[in-house]
Amino acid sequence: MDDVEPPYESDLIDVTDVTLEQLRAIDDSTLAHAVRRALREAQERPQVLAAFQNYAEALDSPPDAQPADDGAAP
Amino acid sequence: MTGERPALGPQPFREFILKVHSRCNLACDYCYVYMMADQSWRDRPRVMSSAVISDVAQRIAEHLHAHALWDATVVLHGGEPLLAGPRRIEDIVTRVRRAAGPGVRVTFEVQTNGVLLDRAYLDLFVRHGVRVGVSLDGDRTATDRHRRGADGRSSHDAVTRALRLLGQPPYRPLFAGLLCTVDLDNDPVATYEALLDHGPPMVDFLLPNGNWTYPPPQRPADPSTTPYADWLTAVFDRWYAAPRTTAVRLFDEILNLLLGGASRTESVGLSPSATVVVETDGSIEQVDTLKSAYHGAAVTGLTVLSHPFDAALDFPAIAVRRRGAVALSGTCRRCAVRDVCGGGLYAHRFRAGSGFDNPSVYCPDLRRLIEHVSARVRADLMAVTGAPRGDAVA
Repeated sequence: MDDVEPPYESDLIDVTDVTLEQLRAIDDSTLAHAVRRALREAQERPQVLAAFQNYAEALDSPPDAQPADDGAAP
Repeated sequence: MTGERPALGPQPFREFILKVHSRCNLACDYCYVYMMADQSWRDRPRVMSSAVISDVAQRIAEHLHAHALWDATVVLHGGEPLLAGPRRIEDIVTRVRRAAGPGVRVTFEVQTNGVLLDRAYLDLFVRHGVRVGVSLDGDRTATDRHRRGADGRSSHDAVTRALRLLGQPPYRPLFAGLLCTVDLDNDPVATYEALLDHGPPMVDFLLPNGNWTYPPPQRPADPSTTPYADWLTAVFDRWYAAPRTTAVRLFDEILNLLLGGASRTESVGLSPSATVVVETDGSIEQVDTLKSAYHGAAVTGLTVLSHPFDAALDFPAIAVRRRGAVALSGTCRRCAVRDVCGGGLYAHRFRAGSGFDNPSVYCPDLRRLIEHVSARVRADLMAVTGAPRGDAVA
C-alpha cells in the first residue's frame, strides 16, 4: 500500500543509565538540571500540558499560595 | 521512543486566557493581534464588562466542577491587560476564585508590556498572588525596533522602571519571566545578556509570527539557510555553558524532549494543549496566535454568554492539538526530530490552500537548532559517562 509509512526512528537520547555520581560531577550545569528533570518526570509521569507560549512562566515554579479570603482553598 | 500517542479523549481546559482589554498602549509592529491578518479587535468592546466577567467566572467554575478539576490557570491578557484598571482586574480575580469555590486552586498570571506596571498594581498582585510576565526584546535599541507607542515613543524606560520594582521585595516572588521576540537584526548574545540584567527567573524567545503565505522577516525560501537557528544557537551556547541561574523555556523544553520528556509549551513537542481564550465580549476562541494566519482563524462561534467551555472541546482545530504525532503533516511524521519539534507552533504551519497540514515555516531553523542541542548534549554526556549516547527506544 502506498500510504504505509516506514518504521519511525527518532533522534531522542537515552539517559536512563546516567548515575547520581556522574550527575554530581556536573552539578550546577544546565545539562545536570535537564537530566534530573527528565529522570524525575520519567518516574513521576506527570500529566504534561502544552501551555500558552505568550505568557512568561518559569517551568518549575510552584504556584503561589492563594489568599484564603476570597473563597479559595487554603 | 516514537512519541506516537493515541488520540486522547476530551481533555478539559486547564488554562483560560482572558482578554480583559482589547486595546494596547503600544503599537508594536509585529503584534499578531493588531498588525496581522485578523482585525477582529476592531469590533470588540475595549474592556471586559462586569456582566461578561460574571459569565466567565461561572463558566470556568462550571467547567472545573464538571471535570472534577482542582486547579486551573487564568492568564490575564490583551491587548494590554493593565489598561483594564486595578479595580476591574481585582474584580476578575476575586469573582473567578469565588465562583470556583473552596477546594479549587485558581492560579492567576498577567502578561503585560510593563508600561503601566507600578507599585499600586504590584501591591494588588501581592494581595492576590498574581504572577507577572513582562514582554521585552532586549536592550533599548532592540526594544525600540518594534515596541513603541503609536506616536513613536520608546517604551524602554517605563518597562525598565517597572522591572526594577518587580525585582525587589516584596514583589520579586511574583516575577514569572520575560518574553522576547527574536529580531535577527539584534545581536543574540547581547540581547540575552540585556534580558539577564533584569534578573528574570525565566526568559523565553518567541519566533516572530508568520507562515508559508506570509513568511517571517528574513526567513528565506531556501531551506539550507537557517538565520533563526543561527541566532538561537548563539544564545543557547551562551546559556548552556554558564552555571544555571535562569531558565530559558524554549531550550529547557527542547532538552527535556530530547531526553524523552514532554514539553510544557505549545512552541515545541507534542503535549496536548488545554488552552482556551475568552475575548472581551465573551467570545470563546482558539489560541490567538492563529490570528496571524487569516481573518477569523481563531473563531469558534461560541460565547460564554450561552455556551459552556465543553462546547469548544471538540472543535476540530482545538481537538487536533490533542492528537499528537498523528495530527502532523506527512513530512513531519517521517522526520527524525518530530517528537522534539512537534511541528512547531500551530500558527506557523499555515499555508493558504492547505491550511495547517504543513511543517512549520520555521522547519529548517527548528531542525538545525534541535540537532545542535542534541549534538552538544550527546558530546557532554559522553564526556561524563565515557560512553556514546544511543538513541532512546520505545
